[in-house]
Amino acid sequence: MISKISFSKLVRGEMRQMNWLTAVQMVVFVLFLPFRAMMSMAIRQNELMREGVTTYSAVEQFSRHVGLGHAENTGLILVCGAVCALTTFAYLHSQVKQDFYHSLSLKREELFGVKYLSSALTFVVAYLTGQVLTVLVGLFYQALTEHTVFEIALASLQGILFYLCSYSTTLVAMMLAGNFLTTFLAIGAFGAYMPMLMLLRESLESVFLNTKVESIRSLSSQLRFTSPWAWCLYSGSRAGITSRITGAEKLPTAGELCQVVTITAVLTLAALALYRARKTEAAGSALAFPILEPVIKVMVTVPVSLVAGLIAYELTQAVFFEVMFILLFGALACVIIEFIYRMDIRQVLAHKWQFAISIVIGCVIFFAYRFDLPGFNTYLPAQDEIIAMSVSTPDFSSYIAYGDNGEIVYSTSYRERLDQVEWEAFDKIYELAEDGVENVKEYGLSDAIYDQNVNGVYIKYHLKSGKEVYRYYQIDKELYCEVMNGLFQDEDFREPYFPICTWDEETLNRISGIWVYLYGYSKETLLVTDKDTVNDARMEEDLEAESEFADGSEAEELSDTTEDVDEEGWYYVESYSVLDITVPLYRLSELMEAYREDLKEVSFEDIYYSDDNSYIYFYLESTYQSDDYPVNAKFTNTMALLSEIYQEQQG
Amino acid sequence: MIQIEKVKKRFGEITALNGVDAAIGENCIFGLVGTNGAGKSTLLRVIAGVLKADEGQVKIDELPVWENVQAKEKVCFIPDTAMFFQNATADVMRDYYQIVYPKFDAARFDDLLGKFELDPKRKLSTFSKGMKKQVSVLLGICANTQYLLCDETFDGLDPVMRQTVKSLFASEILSRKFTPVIASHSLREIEDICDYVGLLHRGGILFAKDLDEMKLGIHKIQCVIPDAADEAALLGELTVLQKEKRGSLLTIVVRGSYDEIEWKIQARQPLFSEILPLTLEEIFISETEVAGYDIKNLVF
Repeated sequence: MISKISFSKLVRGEMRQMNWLTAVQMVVFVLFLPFRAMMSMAIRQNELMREGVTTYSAVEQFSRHVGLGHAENTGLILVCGAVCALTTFAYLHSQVKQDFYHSLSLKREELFGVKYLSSALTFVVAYLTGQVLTVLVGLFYQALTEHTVFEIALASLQGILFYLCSYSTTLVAMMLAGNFLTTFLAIGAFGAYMPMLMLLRESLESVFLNTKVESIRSLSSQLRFTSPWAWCLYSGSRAGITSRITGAEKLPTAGELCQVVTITAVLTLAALALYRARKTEAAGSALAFPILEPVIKVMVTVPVSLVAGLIAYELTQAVFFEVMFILLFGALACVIIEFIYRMDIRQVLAHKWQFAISIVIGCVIFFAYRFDLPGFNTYLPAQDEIIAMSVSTPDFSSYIAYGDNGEIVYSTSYRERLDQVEWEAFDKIYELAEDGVENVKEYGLSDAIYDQNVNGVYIKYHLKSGKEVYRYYQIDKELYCEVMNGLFQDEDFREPYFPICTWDEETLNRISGIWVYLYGYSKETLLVTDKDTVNDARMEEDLEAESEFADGSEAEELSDTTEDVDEEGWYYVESYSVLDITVPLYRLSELMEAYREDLKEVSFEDIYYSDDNSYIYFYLESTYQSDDYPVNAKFTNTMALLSEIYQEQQG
Repeated sequence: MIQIEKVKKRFGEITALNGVDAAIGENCIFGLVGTNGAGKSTLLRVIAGVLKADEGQVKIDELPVWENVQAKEKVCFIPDTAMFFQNATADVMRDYYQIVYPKFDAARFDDLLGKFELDPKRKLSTFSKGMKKQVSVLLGICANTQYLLCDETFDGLDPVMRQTVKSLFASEILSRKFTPVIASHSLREIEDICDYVGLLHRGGILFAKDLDEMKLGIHKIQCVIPDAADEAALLGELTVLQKEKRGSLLTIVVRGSYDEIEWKIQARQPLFSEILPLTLEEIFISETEVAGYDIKNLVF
């Protein structure tokens, strides 16, 4: 049975009651959209009049201030969504208002629909007015293009979706809470609980799981999954003009918009279901569903106690104080929550069993991390469970490689780099892993391990079950060098560590610059191409430098020149000279060939543990992505080529 | 007809309604009386479909009221504290009621506002408590619903306005199908208007009866019977609900018809006898005492 009350009339009636909300939003969006665009264009005109030049054309200037990719607009829209939900459904917290609304001949879903739609329309009217006025500003300044209009239209659609998403999220929080205080806390929890939980987990893992290898996804990119607001902010900031300025234009795809629609739909249905289930008499109480009280208490108290335990560990590293902190701060959290529930100081100690459960859970989690009860750090699969292993260290700093599909990938993640250097004859790598695990067992979380001659090494286990396990160990340096020297003799093993050896034509075409920084070299030493003579010349230079340091006055003179670049293109850094060579791109193939030839002749230790290690940097299109390869006197072919290039450049 | 069937409602550990059973007929004024906290407002809110009964149900013209649009459109609820929009005037409320109550009579509302000398353009927030009550009653009456649930409606109205509102209710009953249910903590406020009265106490309804029937079937007698044996015999013949003797003056409240009681008293040759009308309060006291309650502590 549908109500005889006209839905559209009721929506209009409700909107009339919310005229003030429309007006406030209108002012805000006029200021943030057309007014801002107008100011930007006026500033440009002023620049033109005064100086006759501007940084951007009219179209460019206009397009920088409208459309997609403005995080501040997205933030504002999300705030509008939350404020509209709070004001429209404020009646849920008032018995008087509920008596009125719930006595009307409307089903709850109809009333929900009326309220939802009327409130959304206040935003749509204000926001679209702002966008239309922005278009008019563009027209006035003759800065409008089809693309900009399209982007403004797309931004409007995206903005409305973000608004609805934020609105529905706030509604879910409101439906769960019974009064304004708990509503605000619930909204805060929706926005911050998951990110804080993630940060807490990261902190626990970074402190206690010292063999953990960071995930490929950065923490910031993981945060977008923690709340609808974070999702909207992430989606809103990565699309549009902002991205276009940095060289990667990106409009939101239909799929991305569908994701927001789906999230919004799920949240709206959840809010509606909660509204139907919610009792009218819940108005004024802390929570609309008392069954959630212990759940929320535990959900808050456990992280609080974990943070307390972590602080105690950092301060004292004593189990007694860790337990005391967990108990104290856990109890404090319980008391505060109980006070929020009852608003009665006499009842703050009620429900002690909930406190007990929270503390037990907190202690179990904390000490599981603290003493590595699951055996994360000491994990070592049996050899027969493994298909392949890989090893990497911070020494290997090649980032430009090929992904599974053959596309060029630029990765700074150790996980991805370990994926690229898997080795099936892994016996020797397994020895490294065994040594790492032994060290973990012997030293645990103690810093004493760093007093030993160890090297940090990343290792990957690719198990027969398909599971891939990544660990970071401290491994005896001698053992590490011995194993790696042996493995590097095999060209098949060595090659993946040097993607330069396999770069194809397409990759070469994307290289936009090659710079070589030869540390400890000067014009004189570089131009001697014979390997032995180079070493002799460098040794002489080192001896000279040492004797200069022995003499205080000379040392002072040297340090005075530390940051001076001389006419020949080299300068001093703490008594070392750095020779800077720019390799012309047409010589890239030659350089690669020379480098490949040299790799066949040098050992692992020659490459990474030489005293005179310098680097060749390759830049991939965007100046933000570069790759570096070690080079030293043992790379005779490469050094000879560099010397030749340098000689040519010096005329 | 409103049927209240074994309705139970709890708020946490507090039982507000404990198996209330009652029927409210059509075209009559039903008074719901009880002490503060007896459950009057809760019962009205359950009848209005605002609260869901934990057990039992309320039916309006055979239709369950909870989330039933068909049943709810027959009811208008005037709560103790009226809900007016922020900065609203009587005009604004009239316009909104026109939307939510399709039978709302706007012309009549404007007319009544004039008669009550209430300014339709003045903000309701500047009205006195009594004036706000008047506006909410007028909105309720003009909603033209079959049932009007009034929670403490006369509380805050001055005597003149109280009479005016009662007259309005009476005229509405005469002109259309209209059944007001008036909840009040005071019997005196509603005894002159109600046809039926239900007494609510501690979440249960003690009884709900036709006021006239109650008045016809119960009488208060003051008499002096010289012979003690005759007096004892008389008391044995009558259905005595209450008895009090001061000196030789015997005051009794008895159940039965006027003629029958008069005949029995005269047969004992009293020196003096008088049959007095009972106030609603006295009827309730007598009835509830029989039911085992000390009503004096409950209502008055």
